[in-house]
Formats: sequence, structure tokens, C-alpha cells
Amino acid sequence: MIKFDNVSMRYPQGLDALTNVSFEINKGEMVFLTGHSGAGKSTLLRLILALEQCSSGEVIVNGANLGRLPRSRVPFHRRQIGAVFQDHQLLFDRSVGANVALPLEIAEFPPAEVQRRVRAALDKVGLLNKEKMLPTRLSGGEQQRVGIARAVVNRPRIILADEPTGNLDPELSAEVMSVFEQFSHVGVSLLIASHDKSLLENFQHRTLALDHGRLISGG
Amino acid sequence: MARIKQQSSKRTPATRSSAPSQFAYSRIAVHRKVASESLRQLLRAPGTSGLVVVVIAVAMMLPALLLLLTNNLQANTGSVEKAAQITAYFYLEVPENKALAISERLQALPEIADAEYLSASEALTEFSQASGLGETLQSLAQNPLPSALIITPARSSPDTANAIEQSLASFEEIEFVQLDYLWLQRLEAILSLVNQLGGLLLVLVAIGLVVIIGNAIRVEVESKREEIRIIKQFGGADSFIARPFLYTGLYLGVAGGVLACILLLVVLSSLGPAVAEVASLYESEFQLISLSVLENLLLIAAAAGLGWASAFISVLRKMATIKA
Repeated sequence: MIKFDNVSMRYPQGLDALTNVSFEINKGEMVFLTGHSGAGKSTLLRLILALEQCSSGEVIVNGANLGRLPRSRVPFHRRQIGAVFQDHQLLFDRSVGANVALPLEIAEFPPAEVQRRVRAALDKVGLLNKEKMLPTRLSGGEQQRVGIARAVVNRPRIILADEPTGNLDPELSAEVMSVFEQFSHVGVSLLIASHDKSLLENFQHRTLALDHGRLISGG
Repeated sequence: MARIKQQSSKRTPATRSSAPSQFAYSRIAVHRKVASESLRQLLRAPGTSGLVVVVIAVAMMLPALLLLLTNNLQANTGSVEKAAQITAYFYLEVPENKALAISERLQALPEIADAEYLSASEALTEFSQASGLGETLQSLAQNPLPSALIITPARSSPDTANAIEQSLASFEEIEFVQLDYLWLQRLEAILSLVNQLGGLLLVLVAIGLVVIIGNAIRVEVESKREEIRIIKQFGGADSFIARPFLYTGLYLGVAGGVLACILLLVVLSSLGPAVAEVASLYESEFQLISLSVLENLLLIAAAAGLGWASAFISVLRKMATIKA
């Protein structure tokens, strides 16, 4: 589903974010991505989303070589991926429901279908009663769960999550992880970046460990 | 804090997202939704967009007024066509029956609407009445005036006049042809100059409007930078991102065009009495004509098109600077 072949990423400022990274994630597989901050976790996720282009090597997602993906196909590529961002990236001028609806509206789903799926996704993260609220009135943990609902609402083939449990207490973290595991059971591939040791220990999944841009284990 | 519901774990998520086209509902519904949202957004902040609408209206009025000016002048030249007659003077010795025969032959020509024969004695009577020299003229031993043909061309164009002049030249009996066409040629030249100026003005106004509307849209896009960035991250295509802004441009244009039409109506109706006054003093039947319904619609359509196109250019340029 996701394949990195000798991928290096150097930012224009000369910073080497990733060096010769190779790994593969299969359909329905749930993989952790760990490493110190600045090890290249976010860059790796951004490469999969085609938010960045790698400097060398090949990133193949869902059969498509992202280096050769035409610009016009990039939006369709991104729609197959549900992404949870570290800083939530919610729109604060619209309701929780409208935030979760965003990927569906981008893909031009009919309004009734949008409504149904948004409520299902909010229900999954336990925020159904906050649908009409503005995100500013939610706690950090709740905002994070809105981001998770938004990532899964489109029933993507791939879910990428950057520190999805960063603001959640252990109990909520476990529940979010169980939602993710349900997705992996039905064939969704997941890559979850986290440096939460207890999370990695409680859920036994393959772990890719990055250190200064190099993959040191799990590849 | 609400806890994640355990029963939700029983619900299995669908295998994967289907192709978007499967659920893509009608394009019209998509557009209707975006269109109404853009309108609502515009009405929420009527201040700035109102200013832009006024600028569009005033700018559109300038070429429209020039168009009206030429329209009115052109309509007016029709009523003075009689003054564009051609007079052909016969030699003094040409007898009346011969002159009448020539008149009939000329009448048959397609470019001549009417060829009226004016005998020498009729000419004398008319002249003495017009000049007030009645008695002096009566004292003359013989009529010094020639007989003449007063020809009304079928069309009041310089070309027709030339054709008629050539036909007249073939008659030996005609001594002299007087053309009254020069002033018409001058008027036509002036009107075409004004028309060209109008075209030039239209281009300048269009450029100005593209800049003004484009700038308004650019500010709008800038204020939604974060939203656009997030939409891009979730796979929003450029067309999806641009659509609300294109509708905003379209609305600004339509509103500006409608306002321009209303202002033109106000200007014309306020000028109406003054124009009628001048016309009556000149004993003219000059009537101020306003834009037709079609011309009004064209003006609104032009403004709408400009609004859309400006938004398109502006969004396209601005969107490229926003990185997901």
C-alpha cells in the first residue's frame, strides 16, 4: 500500500530530513512510526500525502509513484488518505460537524450522505453531542478527536496520524487506538507517528524507528 | 468529557472509499450550494463589496454613455436626411419637356428615391419669397434662374452620393451639380471617431475593472489562506477552492452592471427635459433614446463576465502561492 524505496529528502535550506529510507506497509497493516522530535516523522507523512516531493528515491502509494504523479492527480491521491495532523488543523470559523464534513464536501458527496457519515464519524470518537459547537469551545483532546473523525469520515484506504493521542489521557488514547484497529481489520493501512512509549508497548504493532532521518529499525 | 462509545466498536467501517464519481451528485446541486453560500458571505459584509459594486457601476457607465451619445447622434442624422439632397441645375436653354424626361429617367435609378423637377419660374417665385427681393426681381426682363432637379438619394451615404453624381454627369443638359454631402461625411467621420474612442475607453475600463475586482478577490483569498491550505491537504482540487471566489466575482459584476443600468436611467431621465428644451429651440424633433432592453442585458452580462474573469485570474495567481 505504501512503499518507500531508498527515499531521501533534503529541504532547500540544506537540511537532510530523511536519508535512504526504505520500508513497505501492506494493506490492512497498522504500523507505528517513532523517533525523537525532528527525526523526520512529519516529513515522512508529508511525503506520503504528496505535500512534499522527495529529493531522491521513490514513494509509491496505492500503486502510484508520487514522483511521477501529475499535478492534477494530486487532489485525488490525497482524498484516498485520511490524515490526522499534530496541530489539529481545524477551521475555527465553522462548527465541529462542518469540519468533519470537509473531506466529503471536497469529494462532492450528496448532502444527505455527508450528514449521515459525519454523525457516524463523530459517534465513533464520542463527540456526537458537540456537532453544532465551534471547535474553540472544545478542549485540546476533543479538538484532536474532531481531527480523527475528519480523517476517517471519507473511509480512506490509508490513515496517517501524527501524534494522534498527544492530548489524550491514557484511557481515551486506548479508545482512539481501538478505532484505528477496527479500520485495519477491514483492510485500511495505518501509519501512526508517536513517541508515546506506553502506547507503543500496549499495542503490539510493527514500529518504524527514525533517528536523524535514518530508519534504524522496523523497515 | 464524553467518552468514546463502546458500542461503536461493533460497527465495522466500510472497506474503503468508493470512487468519488459514484456519489458525486448533480453538478447543478454542487453549484447551487456554493452559489448560495457565496451570496450569503457577500451579504454578510456588504460594506467593502458595496464599494466595489459602485466602482464597477460608475466605470461601466462611461462607455455606456458614449455609446448612447453616438446612438443618439446617429438616430438624429436620419431626421435630417432631407438636407442631404442633391441639386442638379440645367442649362438655361434646356426646354421643360426635356428636363422632365431626364427627371423620369433618373427616378428609375435604384439609388435615387425621388427626383423633383423645379421649373425656372417656380424657382424664381421661391427665391423672391425667401429673399424678400420680390419687386427687384420682377423688374428683370427675363428669369435669370435655371430649372433644376432636387434629388433625394435612397440612402444617405457618401457612396450613394458619388454614384448619383456620376449618373448626372452623363447628361449634357445638366450644367452643375451641387452636393450637400460634405457635412454628412464629416459627421460620419466624427461619429466613427467617437465610436473608436468608445472602444478604447471600453478596453481601459475593462483593464481597470479586472484590477479592482481582482484585488477585492485577492484580499478575500488571502483572508482564507488557512482554510485553503487545509482544503488542499484533504485533496480539494483547484476548481473546488476557486469556485466560491468565482461566484463572488460574478455577483460583484452583476450587481455593478445592474447598478450601472439604474444610474444610466436616472441620468437620462434627468437630462430628458433639458434635451427637449434645446431640441425645441432648434425646432428639431430630436428625441433622447435610452439603452434598449437588450443593450441593458448586454451591459449586465459584460459586467458579470468581467467580474468572473477578474476573479478567475486573481484566484489562479493567488492560489498557486498557498502551499498545503
